[in-house]
Amino acid sequence: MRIRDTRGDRAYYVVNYSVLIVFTLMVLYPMVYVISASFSSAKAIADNSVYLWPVGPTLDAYKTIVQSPNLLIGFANSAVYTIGGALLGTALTVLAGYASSRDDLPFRRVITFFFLIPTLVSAGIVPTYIVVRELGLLNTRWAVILPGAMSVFNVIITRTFYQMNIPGEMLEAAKVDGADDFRFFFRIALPLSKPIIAVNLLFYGITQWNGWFNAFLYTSDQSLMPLQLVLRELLSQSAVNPAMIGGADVAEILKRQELFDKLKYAMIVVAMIPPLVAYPFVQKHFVKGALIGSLK
Amino acid sequence: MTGGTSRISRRALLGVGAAGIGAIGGLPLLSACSSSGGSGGSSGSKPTGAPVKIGAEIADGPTYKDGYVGPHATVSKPFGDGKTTFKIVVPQDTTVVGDWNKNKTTAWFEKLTGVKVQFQEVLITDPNGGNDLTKINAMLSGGDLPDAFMGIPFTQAQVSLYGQQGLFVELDDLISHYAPRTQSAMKDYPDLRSLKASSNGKLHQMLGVNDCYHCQSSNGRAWINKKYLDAVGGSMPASTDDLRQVLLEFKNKNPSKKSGFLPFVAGVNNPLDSYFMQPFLYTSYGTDSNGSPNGGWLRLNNGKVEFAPNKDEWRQALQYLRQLNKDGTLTSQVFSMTDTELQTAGNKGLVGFGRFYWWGSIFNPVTLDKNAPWRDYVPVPPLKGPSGQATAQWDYYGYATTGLQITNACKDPGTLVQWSDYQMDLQAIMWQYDGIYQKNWFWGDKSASGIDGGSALWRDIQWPAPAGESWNQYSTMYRSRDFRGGQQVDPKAPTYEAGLYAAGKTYSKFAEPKEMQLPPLIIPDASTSQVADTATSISQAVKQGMSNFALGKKNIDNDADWNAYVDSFKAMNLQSYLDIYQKAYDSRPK
Repeated sequence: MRIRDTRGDRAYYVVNYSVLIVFTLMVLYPMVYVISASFSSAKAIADNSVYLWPVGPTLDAYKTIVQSPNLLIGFANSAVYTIGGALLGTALTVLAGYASSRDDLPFRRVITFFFLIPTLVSAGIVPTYIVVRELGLLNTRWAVILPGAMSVFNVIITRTFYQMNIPGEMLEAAKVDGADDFRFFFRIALPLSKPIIAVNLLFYGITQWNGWFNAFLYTSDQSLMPLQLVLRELLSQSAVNPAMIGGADVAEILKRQELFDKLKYAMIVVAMIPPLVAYPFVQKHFVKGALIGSLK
Repeated sequence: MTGGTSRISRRALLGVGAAGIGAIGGLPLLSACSSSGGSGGSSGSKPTGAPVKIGAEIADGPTYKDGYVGPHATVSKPFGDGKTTFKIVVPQDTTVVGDWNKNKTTAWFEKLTGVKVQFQEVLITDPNGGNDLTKINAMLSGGDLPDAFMGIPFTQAQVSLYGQQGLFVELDDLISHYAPRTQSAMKDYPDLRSLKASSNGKLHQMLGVNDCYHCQSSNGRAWINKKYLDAVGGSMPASTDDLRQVLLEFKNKNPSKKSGFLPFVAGVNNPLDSYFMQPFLYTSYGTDSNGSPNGGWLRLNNGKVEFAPNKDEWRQALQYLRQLNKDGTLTSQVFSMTDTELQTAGNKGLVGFGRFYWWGSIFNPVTLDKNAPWRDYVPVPPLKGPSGQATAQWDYYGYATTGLQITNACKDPGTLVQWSDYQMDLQAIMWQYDGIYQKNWFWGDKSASGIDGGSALWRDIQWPAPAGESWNQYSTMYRSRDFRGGQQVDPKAPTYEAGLYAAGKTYSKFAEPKEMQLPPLIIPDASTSQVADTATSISQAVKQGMSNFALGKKNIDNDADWNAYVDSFKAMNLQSYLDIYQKAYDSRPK
């Protein structure tokens, strides 16, 4: 049997759904536009005749992107950096977070304060560059992954998560049963912290996927460039700088204009796909983990 | 030339005797500290051996037109020892250059010079096309110096500063010994050295030339659609009054027969003042603090730096613009149109008259089709104002480009100077600019003519060359006006360059006097932030004033409004801004 909605209920649904639909459209339309534009001819984009569906459909843009040799290298590199950065960052964060969550850790306050220092003061580009250089990391993959591998913010979230979810009593019980610290961590604490691990993997993965600055600063070998840097370079090669107008050859302006028209939208789509694909799988953990951890 | 040679040999002799003391001869001002950077200790910064001379013309070379001034294709012998590898930082450019170390021109040039170079690529542009020297600065401050930088867009002030800190090597002596092509370029372009010298008068970078004839007037050009002009029965406007009539005709008769027709366009990146102020007063072609040609508005009056937008003639010009606004031909759009909006309007055939850079500003794409609509747009000569004068903005100094900056980490700067100088050979220029000989470029055909009407020097298939073959435009170049004018024109499929050259010709007779133009100056380090701040406020005030007065938001005929506008510049400390420029001008390197 169906329970009838009252008039108030129905009004509520109408308003609720309309508002939600408006918001959905606001998020969805730019994405649809970008995807349509990436399949449209350069002429159609220049004439502003793309509204919803592709006009003069063509795969030109994607052909150019696929043919650009650095793009595939960039994709592979980004995958390496994302996976490597996510694993390393998560491992460090979980270790640091768990340890600092334990009341019986000696010098706990000092250690926590030590972790907080870099969030208050940062060294700046040049000193960091010198450190990386002196460690012999310039032009290696490590230079992309290691600097900033662990984020203190994530450590705090993770520490809070352990404080909330792994009470001291549990540790005592385990100890009574004869488990040492390592056994407790690997057998009990770690399996209980899947949500926070997922959150960390996602955070670090996204940061690395979107990151270009480390690679920009510390590498100069094209075979080490992540996707974002390849795209950034393509974009900068295609930008018509107003300051350039007035001294530049028209051939140069023309070349940039053509490249820009061709690539602008397709590049956004390419960079957007992996996070879009990955997000639904981690999303449920994400909400749970980040909420729990955010009680500081 | 002979005088120069004897001077060099004397110095070379002295150098041998002085064995490393005062490595760079005749510089008592330079303290031991600032020259200690590293070049001081090496013998390489002191010219040795006989001065380098330009070789004979190559066989099967190009035909030069009469009176040709510019680079020559000469027989060149390798001079590098083949063992030393130089590390040179270059801009990253995967779309044209590709991997610098695997580039075809790199291989060709290494064979020609015998100099081994390891290129290190750095991304130096941000996604908006601006310069991003973050990494270069990190390298410089971190002491991670290469032997040289090539094609890195250092500002003049930066080179001057790093040069005087001893980070960049002084090059005058080395050039006079190792760089005969640079010397002849300096003779062909007498201002060249002073445009690139540091504030202490020394030269810390190799010199280059890219003398684009039409670019000298391109920021002040206006265009009109010839078909539309004929359709309304008008003739090419010669004065401000003529133009007003033509615009009115455009508005009333709408020759495009389309709705949304725009009699008059200009835009954010195509400001109208560079054309419309000229009938009333000189406002020199100027670059603002970002190097963008949208600002400046400074000019020279008998060696005195002046500001134009608070002069009475400027007010007259604004009154004229207000008149156009009242006619309904000038709308707020001429101040606000973006590049894309201009192109959209142009593509739809909605543009009658406009102040813009070139056809590509209002068409996208610009095709070489013989009947392409952009071919209807012809340049409008500078207008006569109330005084009967017509002048055009003319850029006298834009041709100077930069070659290498050699750092104090370089053990053998002489070789790099020679290496850079070799890039000014005609063959090297062509390779670096256009890729592989007889694949993408050829010498000009015997009977053909170039864009300047003289005999053709060279022709190419496409620019840029296919990826991985050329050096784009990052090398030390010597693309003189005659070199650029020697690009062969195919009469069956004329490209843009020939048309732009013709447009340049339309304006050259009206070019502003050179002595009224403020050359690019080095603002001393202590004043840079003040100048930048003031320049930003001035630029805003001028642009805002222009649109407010032109659109009637403020009354240009009302003295109170005008005086308030003039006084606003005083509040921005205009005088001390001008003083800084005056001082920089008076003490500029000569």
